[in-house]
Order: sequence, then structure tokens, then C-alpha cells
Amino acid sequence: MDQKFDCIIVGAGPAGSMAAKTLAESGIRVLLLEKHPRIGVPLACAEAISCSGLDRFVDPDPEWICTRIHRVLLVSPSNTKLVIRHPQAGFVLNRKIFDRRLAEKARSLGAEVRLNAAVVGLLRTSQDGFCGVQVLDNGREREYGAKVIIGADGVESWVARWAGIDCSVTLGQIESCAQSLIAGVDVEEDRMEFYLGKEVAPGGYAWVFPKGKGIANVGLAVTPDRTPKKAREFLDEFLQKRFAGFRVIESTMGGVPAFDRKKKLVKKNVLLVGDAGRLVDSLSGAGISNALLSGKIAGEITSRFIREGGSSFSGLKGYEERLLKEKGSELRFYSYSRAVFLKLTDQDMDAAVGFLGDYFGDRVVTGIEPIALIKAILKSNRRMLRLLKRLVW
Amino acid sequence: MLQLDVQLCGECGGCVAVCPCGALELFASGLRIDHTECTLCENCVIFCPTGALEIDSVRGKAPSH
Repeated sequence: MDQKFDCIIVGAGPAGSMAAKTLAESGIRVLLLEKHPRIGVPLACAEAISCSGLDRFVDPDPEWICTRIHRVLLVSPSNTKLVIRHPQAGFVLNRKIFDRRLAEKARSLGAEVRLNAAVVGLLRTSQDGFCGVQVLDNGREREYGAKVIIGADGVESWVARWAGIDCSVTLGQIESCAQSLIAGVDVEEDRMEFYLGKEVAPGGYAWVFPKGKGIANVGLAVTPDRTPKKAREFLDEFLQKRFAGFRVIESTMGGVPAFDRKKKLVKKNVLLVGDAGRLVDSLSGAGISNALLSGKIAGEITSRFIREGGSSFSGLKGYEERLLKEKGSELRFYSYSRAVFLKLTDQDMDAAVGFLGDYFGDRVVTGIEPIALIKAILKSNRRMLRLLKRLVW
Repeated sequence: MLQLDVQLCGECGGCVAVCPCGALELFASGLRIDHTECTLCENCVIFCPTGALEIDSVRGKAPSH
């Protein structure tokens, strides 16, 4: 073993860095490994987060807050437009900076951060569980020891596979996404746009998230088994239709996993956080807030486990229990909502947008309780209610 | 055989997630295909947002091992 740590975290995205920060704060020897030479690159993210999803973990910093969102534009398949005014809707981040600052924070608290360090396997102990990782650390083969390993390695998590956690994703459980960062467009800087319909994005939606100065993240998600056409082709069409002129700065692709309640987050002394644990709001695809939350809880539980001597792995189960106690019902609800959403026709979506127009009227929304809202939409339409009942009960 | 067009690959890792047999792995240097593990199920082909993956129709069967 080349070096020993209490905990090794694989992947320096928001989940991994939050876990590293939490552990370092409590004096645990932690190593944060990132396979890429730079943190935050390449990025596969639309960079939006709700106010409440961010505030509780970090203070918003103008350095990485691109825009503050006060309005949401919803466009139905038949082009009915609805604007919801919500002063505290959320933020669009610059995650290239956000991710780096979070990792730097972890480092300043004592975490060791290594870039260009790809984990290529887990090391098994002779008895039970895992005792470390094999790493290609800047091209050199190394073995680092740890009492706990946290997989924060994204949707494609190999840490999960190596640990023997069933992580197969069916084509109905993942969204195929394409996004371009475009410049030179006239978009309103405090307004997010969402577009629905099978012509735009079958089994998903298209988004326009302003980043300020005429720059925006424009992307869409499709359910891949719905259409032979590629997300990238849908995006090209959407860009041409929505914008008169634009310049593409960069394009990113992505796979957004849907939450699966049957999936385990802990096996022996391996914990999965963020996208690796599929901790995504299945309806919107939002994952940053859950990544931060799961990283924080995983860090706290691991810290306690190590301080208490770390003999029985059962203490680590507390991570999954606490996370699901706090977020489980919400994650499951969004999962059901996605199942209903996937059954909606364009006419149903038109009806839902129409209902929302009546529901919100012209009032300024001070806070949206998403679950109550979705319930109201589903109850507004007999067909949707029937769909929900069939799925849930 | 499964073919990758590196020009089109966005290195997002979604294909790795939908691969039921662990034939794909994403390194900082790009996507690596283990043809001995690949069963040509086409999940990754269907998922890929850019069409970077496809099954070579001429030699369209798994190599024998």
C-alpha cells in the first residue's frame, strides 16, 4: 500500500467534494481522487439549482452565480405560453467555478486532492469488504488504503460495479441529453424556459437557462427508447427554431439517471453518492442539490464510523437510512410523477399547462411546494389521475 | 463489432451506465470498449445522444473467444 487514508472519495463533483469537505472538517484523513486533469471539465450539467437546494449547503457567491431566476416560462406542445413569477425560484450556476471552489474548500480544511488520478479498481480485504483502491495516479500505478470508500463517480459509476452493487440502468430509466452553451442570444436573464411535446423532446423536455450577457445553456432530454432520433438532432432543430442567430461555445452530452428505490447505496464499506447513487429528481432531472446532501450525510456518517473505531460496517448503513428518511418520499414521488409524465400525450400536457395558468393566475408565487403542485395537476385531469392510481396503488 | 466515432463522442458516460455487461469504461482519455465483454445488445447505441456508437453491420457479430 503506497499510502493510507481513513476515507477515499472517487470523483470530485459536488457530491464527492461535499463529502470530502465534511470529512476534512471533522479531522478525518481523506483523499479525493479526480480522473480528469481539471475539476469541472468536462461538464455534463444544465447548472440550475433551486434556492432552497443551495442555501442550506453553501452561501451563494457572485463568483459562481451566473443568474438569479425570478420567472419560469412554460411552453406547451401547442405553443400555449405560461409565465410563473417566482422571486425565489433558483440560480443558474457556473459549475466550472463552483466545483473548483468546493474542492478547494475541502483541501483548505485538510483533504488531499489529486487530479489526473483515475481509480481502476477496488482492493478487497481477505475477510470482508474493501481496503482501498488501485489508482493510475498521473500515469503511475498506485494502491491507496482506506477504511471507507465513497463512490462519487457519476452516472457511469464503476465503484458501484466493483463493489458488487447492482447498477444496471434500463433504457427507460435514463434520459439521453444534449446541451449547447450558446452566445449572442437575446434571452431574459431572470427567466428559465421549458418546452414540452413529442416534437421537441419525446419523454423529456427542452430548456433554456440564461447565464447572463447573452449566454445560455440550451438543452434537452429525451427518453432513448422512445425515438430513433438522437438527442443531438432534436437539439439542433430546437436551436434553429428558438433562436434567430447564435454561436455555439461548447456542446455537452449526458445521461441523467432516474431514481430507483430498489437500488442500494451502501455495500459493506462502500457508499454511493450523487448520480452514482441515482439520487436525481426523476421528473426534472435536477441532481446538484441531492448530490450535495448525499455527500454531506455520507461524510457525517463516515466520520462517526471512523471515530468510533470502524469495526462493524453496519454503522455505515446509517447513510442510506438517513438520506432516505429525509429525501426518500420526495425521490419516490418524482419517480412516480415521471412514470405518469411518460404516459402523457401532447394533449394531456396542453391541459396541464392550461391548468397551471388557472392555478397561478397573475399572482406572484412566493414558494412552490412541488409535490403539492404536481398532485394538483394530476388531480385536475381524470385521465392523469387514473394513470397515477394505476402506477402507485 | 461495436464502433465508436471519437469525433462525435461527448464522453458523458451514459452508455457506460446502460451497458448491462460492463463492456464500456470512460477514462479521462476517452471511452474504452472491451469487445470481449460486449454482447452487441445495442443499449449504448440507442442511448447515445450523438450517434457516436454503432454496430458495424459488415462484421456485425461478436468476435469469438
